[in-house]
Amino acid sequence: MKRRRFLYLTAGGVAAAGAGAAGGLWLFCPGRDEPLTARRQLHKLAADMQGSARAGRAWLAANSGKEPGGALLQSLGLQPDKLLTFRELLTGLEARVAGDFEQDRLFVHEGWQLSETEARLAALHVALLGPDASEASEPDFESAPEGSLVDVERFTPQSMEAGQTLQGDGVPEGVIWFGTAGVPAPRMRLVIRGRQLTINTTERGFSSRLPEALIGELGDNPGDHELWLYDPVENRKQKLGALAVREAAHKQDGFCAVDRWGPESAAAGETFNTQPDGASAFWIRVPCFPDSTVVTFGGVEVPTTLRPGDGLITTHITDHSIYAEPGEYPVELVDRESGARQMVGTFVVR
Amino acid sequence: MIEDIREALEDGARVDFDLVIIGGGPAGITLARELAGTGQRIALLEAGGLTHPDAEQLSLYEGQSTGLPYPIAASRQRFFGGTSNHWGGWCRPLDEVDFSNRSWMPGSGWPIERSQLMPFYRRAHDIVEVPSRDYDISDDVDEDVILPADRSSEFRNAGFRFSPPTRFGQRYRDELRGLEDLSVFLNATVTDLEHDQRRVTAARVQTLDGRNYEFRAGRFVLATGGLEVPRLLLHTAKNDAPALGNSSGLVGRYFMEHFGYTPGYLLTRAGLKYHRHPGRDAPLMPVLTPSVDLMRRLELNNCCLLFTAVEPDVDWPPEALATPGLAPRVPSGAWRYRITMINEPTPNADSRVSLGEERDALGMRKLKLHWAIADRDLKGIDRLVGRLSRWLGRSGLGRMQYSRPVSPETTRSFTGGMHHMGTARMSRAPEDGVVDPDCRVHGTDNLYVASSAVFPASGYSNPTLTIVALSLRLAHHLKGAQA
Repeated sequence: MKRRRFLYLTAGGVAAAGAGAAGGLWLFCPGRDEPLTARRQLHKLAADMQGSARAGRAWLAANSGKEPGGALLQSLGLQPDKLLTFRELLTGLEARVAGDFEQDRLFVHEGWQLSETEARLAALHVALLGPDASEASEPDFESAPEGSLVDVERFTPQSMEAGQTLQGDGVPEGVIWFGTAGVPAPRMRLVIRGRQLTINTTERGFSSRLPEALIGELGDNPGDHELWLYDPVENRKQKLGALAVREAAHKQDGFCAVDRWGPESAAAGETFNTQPDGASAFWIRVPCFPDSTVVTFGGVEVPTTLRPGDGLITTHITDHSIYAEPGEYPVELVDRESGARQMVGTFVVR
Repeated sequence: MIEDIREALEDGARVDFDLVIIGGGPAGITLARELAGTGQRIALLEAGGLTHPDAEQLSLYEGQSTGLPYPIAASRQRFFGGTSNHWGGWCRPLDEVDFSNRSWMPGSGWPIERSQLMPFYRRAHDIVEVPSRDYDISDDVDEDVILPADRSSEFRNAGFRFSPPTRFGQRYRDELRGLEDLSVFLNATVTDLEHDQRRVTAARVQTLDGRNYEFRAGRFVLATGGLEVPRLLLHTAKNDAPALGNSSGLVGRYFMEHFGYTPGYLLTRAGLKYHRHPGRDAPLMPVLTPSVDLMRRLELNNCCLLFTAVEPDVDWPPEALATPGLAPRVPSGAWRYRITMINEPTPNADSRVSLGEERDALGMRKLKLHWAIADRDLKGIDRLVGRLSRWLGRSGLGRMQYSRPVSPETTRSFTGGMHHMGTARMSRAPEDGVVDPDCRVHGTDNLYVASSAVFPASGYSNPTLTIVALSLRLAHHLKGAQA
């Protein structure tokens, strides 16, 4: 936004700042509210308006031939050469604007229901400054200043592998979740690769669902992708972290040896490593495995999530009947394509 | 006990109870909990199971929409707990004015007063697990996060409270299982009511695999939603005799929905919180509403407005409003907010549920919904928006951008809250409605309705809390009648 401040030269003024379109010399005016003519006070106010160019031009277009300054003085009941202070002008202006709304003297610009008086003031601003009239600019993520919007405690996922889906711990596929100390306002957006995504807030943080196209785009661009929270209302942004996108692993034909896994036992019928939705879950640390790997429990295939980049396989068991009876149950990795098997260990149900 | 009817009863079984409740949503479950232990044998018939229905079951809720676009199937929940399964948890009792007979609003007026429902509202809050019954939000929010709607403003601030939300089917399942005199039957779709015009003698139940059952009882309560209540009632028409409660032809008429509309934007004080937030005592959501006096003078329906902060606009940005003398009561910056209105519809006989010719897999005629909004409702929005703009402007609080004036075209984008109301409206006289003030179907001795279908007028509040309160009141009545 162009922000030019034009202030009117008075007898006591000293520092010249620029030449006004109306031919006057606009200067910084120190604190005293000296009486000026009504015309000069109005010009001072109009010239100092911000972001009013569009409304002012609209008024001039709708009132061709009308001089906004004269119309304004007339509506305020002021003679151009009447001496008055700035405060006195504002008092009259406030009353007139209120009266406009009370009596439906409105100027409608792009749906904005403005008082006729303020629209004339905006028009005077344009008449005084011409091409230098103050334009508003739309909020812009790129140029927004950085600031603190929320305290992030953790987020998931923090990485993904090219060609794989986005999968965090305990969150739905395609969703990124942030745990925060406070709740961000719902108006804020998560920004990844310039894409602004809406957020869903809860008492413990917020989440955002990434469109499939964006996940694919991330997969095509391995590396760290900055995650930003952006407030379009206050036009501020905060860097939250980065999502690491790793190169796709080469196709793996066999299994590496299992490093660790767990849990290894549970009481009959009782859930183990209980997930937020009540499911039981294993984790298996194994450096490499085929893309078509599934986990079997006592020969029964269980829902499996593969995270090859992390060397991790997790399960999500909602059918609690499979560990309802005491006994020893083999846990295996099975490659669906080749049929190859890798023993993980024996799970003991007490 | 809670059992699948296909496993609990032999095909063709005829069973006897004292009371049959049709529908396992908030109304039916509330009634069952209240009446259990009173010496009656109660059957609660739920059309769905314990979890989301499959495609075949869902198809039973398909219907034809002939009016404003309406998601008939998606707005319903065919499993235990009913529409509490997708409820957002918004709670607020209806306002005093919602019960009153408003001279400017055709069809308005309940035959009972709000005060008659208040004791039941109080208990309803416990059932839906709302931590606060305080709707005077002035004690619970900082004054700088709401607009200063004083008496001269013609507006006032009101508020919603929130249920967790209570999923009735999950929350009360174990309790219902333990009630010895209550039998809950799942997958039990009632397709017809046997009657002799005054008394219902049996409910006919069918399952999708072709089994049939007959439930006989002394009393029956329709506790389904505002679409299924008229559908079932209309199916009771026999030969030339009208359907039960339909001597005046009003069954299915006056279908009402809280319709949402976004007329435009506000530019006013930064930091307003007209959205759900923690509050001092419990979660709440302030809303702005017209005062009753303004409703009367401008002939408005009740409504509420919510404001959501959005990015500023270049045609009249916050910095323009910051010009001295334009908005003296916006001292420290302005934000732009999108306005969302939740509107009370005028009861409209042309907005109706009827039966189509096509039949579903159980042989029932599919419903036909013609959702319509009265012209006066659109004009009312226009007047309200104008008044809001005037208030903000004259009081130095901000400006309004009326970017989407209402028109017949914009009604196509109206969305509802999935609140089905009014199709079996409550009235003193049979010629004005379908049920009496005790929720008994006019002209019958033993058929009752517990549903938002009985609302003669709807205010803007979500209906669940009122449905539960009315169910408690009906249970109270039935206990008295039994005594």
